[in-house]
Amino acid sequence: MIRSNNFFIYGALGLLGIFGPIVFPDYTLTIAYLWMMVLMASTWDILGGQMGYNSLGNILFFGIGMYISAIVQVSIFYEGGVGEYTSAMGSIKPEFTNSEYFIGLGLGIICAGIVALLLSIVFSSFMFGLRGPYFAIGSLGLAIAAAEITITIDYVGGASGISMPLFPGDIEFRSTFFYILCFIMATAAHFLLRWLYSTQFGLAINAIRDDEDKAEAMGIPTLVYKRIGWGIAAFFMGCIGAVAGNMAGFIDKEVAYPIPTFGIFMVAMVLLGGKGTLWGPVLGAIIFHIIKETTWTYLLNLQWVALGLILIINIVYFQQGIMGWLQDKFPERFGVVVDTETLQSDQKSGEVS
Amino acid sequence: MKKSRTGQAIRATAQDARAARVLGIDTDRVYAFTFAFNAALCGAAGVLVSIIWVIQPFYGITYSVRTFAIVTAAGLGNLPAVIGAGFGIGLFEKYTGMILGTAYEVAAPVSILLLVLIWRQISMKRNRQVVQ
Amino acid sequence: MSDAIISVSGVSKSYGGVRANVDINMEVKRGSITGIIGPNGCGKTTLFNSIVGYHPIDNGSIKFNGDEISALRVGEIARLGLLRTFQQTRIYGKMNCVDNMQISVSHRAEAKSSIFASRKGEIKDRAEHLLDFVGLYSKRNLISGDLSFGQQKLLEFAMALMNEPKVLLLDEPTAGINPTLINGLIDRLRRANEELGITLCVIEHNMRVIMNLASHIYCLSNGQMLADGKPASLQNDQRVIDAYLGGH
Repeated sequence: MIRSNNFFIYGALGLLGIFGPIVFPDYTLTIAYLWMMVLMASTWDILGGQMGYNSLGNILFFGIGMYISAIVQVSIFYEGGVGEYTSAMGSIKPEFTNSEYFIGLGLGIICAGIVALLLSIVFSSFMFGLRGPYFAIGSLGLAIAAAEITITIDYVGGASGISMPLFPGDIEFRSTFFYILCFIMATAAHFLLRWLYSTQFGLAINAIRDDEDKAEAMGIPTLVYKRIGWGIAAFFMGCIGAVAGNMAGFIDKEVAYPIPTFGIFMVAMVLLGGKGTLWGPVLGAIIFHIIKETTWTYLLNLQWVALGLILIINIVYFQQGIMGWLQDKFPERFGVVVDTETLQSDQKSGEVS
Repeated sequence: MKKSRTGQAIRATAQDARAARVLGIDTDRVYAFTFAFNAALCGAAGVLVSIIWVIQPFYGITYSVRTFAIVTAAGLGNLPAVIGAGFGIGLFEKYTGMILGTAYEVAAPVSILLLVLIWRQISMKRNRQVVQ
Repeated sequence: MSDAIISVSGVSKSYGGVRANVDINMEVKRGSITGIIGPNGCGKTTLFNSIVGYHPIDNGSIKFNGDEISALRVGEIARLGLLRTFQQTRIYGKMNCVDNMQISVSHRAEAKSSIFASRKGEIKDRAEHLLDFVGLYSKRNLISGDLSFGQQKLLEFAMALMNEPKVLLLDEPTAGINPTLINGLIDRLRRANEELGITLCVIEHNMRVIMNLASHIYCLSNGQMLADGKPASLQNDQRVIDAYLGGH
């Protein structure tokens, strides 16, 4: 981690976070999505970069969080219940008071996070027996399964989806409100991860990445660490899913489980920025988001070609990502000690070489 | 895979790429060939699918998951089992669609995948191993 | 409490058609240094792997401190205090040496809170102290993957010590080590046994080393236990000389 520059980076991001929507009000939602990406990338990296378990299915918790939040928000103050609401296919528009809406939203977000967390614990029991590409595709299969099974459940609207309760307040307030939510969540996640990586937990998951068999042979209870790591990612993905559902206003399978897009973007962002570092995902998310928005403006549908190309070039030629490349070039600034001075002292003290 | 030199080269590279390289096998060529062969087979399969279904660019992902379900159930490198599992899962999917409705059809192979994974986990636990 | 900290009785293990271990009986006495010798392919590493839980055994029982461990898995056995080192040294290659040591701390009585313990403090001090014990103190901040083979072996040994095991199974600890440095390693092994009270069980091919180090030696051949006893008696045992010590 860059030590002396920390202050500048936090300052710059803080300025962007706090003043962005004020200086560029038209871009409020765009920057909100940026923070969402930062959160997705950072939480993916717990498992992907720090632990070496590439999960292609983290997006599943995003979708589950979205649906759970919808259920909570609708059922909490609407007496008819969720089933009635969804079968009416949007013709029922419940009127919530302001406080009802916000309480519902708050509860919805928390429930979304907790349910996602609990599900991740259940999935952990059989998913973590898989390694490497098996885990990747297995998690992808899990996400697809969740998506397919969700649309068969009529209680949550089946294939037609659910529309979310209307936000009380004008458009500007709505954008700012959700922006603040996204920013707070991304920041909370970042600082939590920053603390987490500085503890034994950080060492443990790195050990699992470097040599899992050795870690097991040394007595590290790897399943516990994997569970905690995935649980944290699931919790945040669930929470941000709930927020995203409210931002979109309408939930269906494509909004909730954007597997080929956001599910893979998570991975692409972290690869671009540098796997297994604290700032890599953040940097990658910001750059990727900027590229995505600009290519959409100028290339429209060819945007996907551009993004795909970036992914391929990244994987083939630039796998260490930006942070990885920086660490190779300037190891001392990242706290990595390079060997030169110790040679002389070795020969004097007669130590092992 | 068993009789030809290329097949042997593929198996050697899969088992120990470094040793294969040291003994003169061009592993990059092997990887390229295997991928090309895979692409050719998938292309042919795609033609068969296009006879039955409407063509659409994003169908590939569900087939990837089906493929993974089949190979996980059958075990890597076990061709007869893969063929059998392929038939089995395909039939299961269609029957599920017939009995429960077409909405459940896509969920069928992924459900099998999950069941296979869970079952594998349980049986591996008894053998002190993990699924590599 | 029985005198034997590990007791292996009637253990057999086959890989397909190869019978790697046939009816092995062995005891490792608490606090001792026990040696295992034998020609290549006689089943020494298979025996180790069976003891630490890498694969299930076909027959027999393995007891650690009187408890049956043959059905337990690697992590559980390690948390009971039975560790092994690897023939091809295994360390965490992308972390620096101090971090390698810190994560090797014992996970036995793992209270959940210690998962999130800070990385500074007394664990770090112990880690640096042990690195000094093996002579790697000046290299403590280097990435462990960049160390030389011999240094990595020492690091692996230090990591094992950090874990405060009751028993340490060492698989050919002097393999690949410069002969002039072997004495240093042997000295450290002996000190670990005497000062830290760790029981050692060592697979070795270097006769000078194992005859001087171990108090009791087992000789395997072709998957079976050939002979066992004190080093002096084994050196004079004709069966051992024919199978292993005497050249062709």
